[in-house]
Amino acid sequence: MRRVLIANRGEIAVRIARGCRALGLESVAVASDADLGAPHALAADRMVRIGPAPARESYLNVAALLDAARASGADAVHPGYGFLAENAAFARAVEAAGLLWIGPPPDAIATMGDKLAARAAAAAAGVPLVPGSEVAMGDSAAAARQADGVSYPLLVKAAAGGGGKGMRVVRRPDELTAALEAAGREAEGAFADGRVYLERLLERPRHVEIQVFADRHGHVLHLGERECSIQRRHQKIVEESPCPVMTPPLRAAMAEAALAAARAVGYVNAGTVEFLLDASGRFYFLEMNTRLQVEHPVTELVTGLDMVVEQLRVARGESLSVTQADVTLRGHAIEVRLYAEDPHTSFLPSAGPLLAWRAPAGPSVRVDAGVAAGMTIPVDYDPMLAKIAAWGPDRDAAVDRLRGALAETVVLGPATNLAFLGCVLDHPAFRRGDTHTGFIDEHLHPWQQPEPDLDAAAVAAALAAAAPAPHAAGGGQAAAVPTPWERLGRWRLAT
Amino acid sequence: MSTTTRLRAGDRVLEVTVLAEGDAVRASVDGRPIEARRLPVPTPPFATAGAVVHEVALAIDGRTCHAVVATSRDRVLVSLGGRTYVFATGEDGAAAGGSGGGTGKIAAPMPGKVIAILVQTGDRVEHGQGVLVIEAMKMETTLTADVDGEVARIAATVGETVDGGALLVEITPA
Repeated sequence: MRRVLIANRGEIAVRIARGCRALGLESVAVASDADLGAPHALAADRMVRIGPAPARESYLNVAALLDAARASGADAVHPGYGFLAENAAFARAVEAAGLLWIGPPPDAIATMGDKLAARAAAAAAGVPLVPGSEVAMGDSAAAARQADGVSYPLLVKAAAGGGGKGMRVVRRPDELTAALEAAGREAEGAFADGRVYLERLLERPRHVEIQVFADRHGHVLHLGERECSIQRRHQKIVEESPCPVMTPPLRAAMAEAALAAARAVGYVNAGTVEFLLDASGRFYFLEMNTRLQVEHPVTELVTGLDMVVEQLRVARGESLSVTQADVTLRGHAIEVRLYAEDPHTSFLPSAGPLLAWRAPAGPSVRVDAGVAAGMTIPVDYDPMLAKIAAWGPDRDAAVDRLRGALAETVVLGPATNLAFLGCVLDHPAFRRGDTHTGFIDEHLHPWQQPEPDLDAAAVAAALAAAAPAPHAAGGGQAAAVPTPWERLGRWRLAT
Repeated sequence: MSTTTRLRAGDRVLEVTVLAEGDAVRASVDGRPIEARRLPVPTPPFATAGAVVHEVALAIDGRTCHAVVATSRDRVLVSLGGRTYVFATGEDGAAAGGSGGGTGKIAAPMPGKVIAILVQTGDRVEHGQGVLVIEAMKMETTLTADVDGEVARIAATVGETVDGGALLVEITPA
């Protein structure tokens, strides 16, 4: 392995380029026409245009990606998350082209990617499941009987699903048919596979997932858990490690179940086994994500490992750099996902030019960003702008640091969830660690942004609006407002 | 120089008067007086993507407020303390970024594709009832009626790609 093609965009493509650089590997970015000039396109050693803005013609275009690998002399492919990361056909095509696939074996992806097959594999490995059922599409009487068997409230989920797509909550029998149709349609559109299944909706569960890692030498280990209960649209927006209610025996039991699921499919490389954890400490297998997760930074912050580097090492046949005994979870880490979406309108995605962007900094603050001021946030892709994380010696310290980081973040242009994320961190229930997947609906819906500095903001707005426009030439430099040096008058260095 | 600016924030209108003399700023917001001192900033205003971005730093009662402000034709966005304050400066106030309440005109919130139309012309609909499903940025979103009334017109077809702001369904309020 010498040169890695990064088959992705945004912050994760930037992250993977950093991992490659840390190992002395070259990297190749790919960019659609909408992403030329985006940070990820310039973060790697080379850049290849792969097609027009729509994902199907660019980041989901297998032929274009393989052509890009060939043209750039890449000998390995890292898929990131989303797009083709959990597409077994893509993994097989990469291997058939004589390239190294930086991910799990295609068969493991295929098994875990079909949520029904994954449930069967987990059950066979002795892992507890959320009560659920297959469902007969197009036969509403049979579907109603199956739903009664699972019992309401329940979830309709896409067999090929992930990321909340193709998922619907059904609280009453009369909602079932419409939910099956909508979920099937969304699943067909997102995954070209309209099969759905039913799963009981547990009351106030926590979403807790175990990070697993395996190499080709028979080492299968776990890196502890992440709690990702704070979700909107069934998508995570806040993630932390460890889980606030974790105990060593519970962690051991969940990790054992996760490792059993991983071994059952001959897993290699990084993966995540997701569970729901109820108030009594019982846990249930949800699914396995056969890729690097969005929220991997919190695990990196508490373990000190570079998970992208481990992925690259495993892919080129080396052993993991640590054994289970070496893995210790130190302190606490929390991450928030900054999205271009409006919390006032049910988190509707937003797009358009990013006018200003200033990332926070500080002790143990980490920012993974895929945006730069002046770029346009495309409508063609997921609207996540950046991840902001903080580590602290304990949970309170981590929350305090992250809260401070959000207060110094500047993002102007599209509507974002920045202030909403601050409200999550400020909420007394979150501070207590009293979290569950319905947290936002229970505590922060509907939501109105607090405006403690409205008057100061109005004065700043009025001053800016009254300022003379800068010279338009070049769209950049302006002489309308004197710089501090110009205001200083005569000066000399005191010696 | 003294200027008075009317800023709309959601459904409120703020009357902001600013008198700046050198670094001293005497302002009032809806009659509430604010005495401030302007602090130097490192970056001069610059134009980008149809807006001008300003750094504005003020000492208000000795407390530093460091804002980044983006002004465009009809909107001013202010980033301060991890929050974004959205002000509309246009006369109709429609640009305040909200969803607009109770007009019966259901528009595409952003560019997307019409996936399903849930009502027909002449249907009686209630506030909050789903009228149309649009897919944008990979998510399906159901647009709902913002008034009780009767569907007067459906201006979109299933499968159609629509621009942000395009009128999709018109409801005559009851």
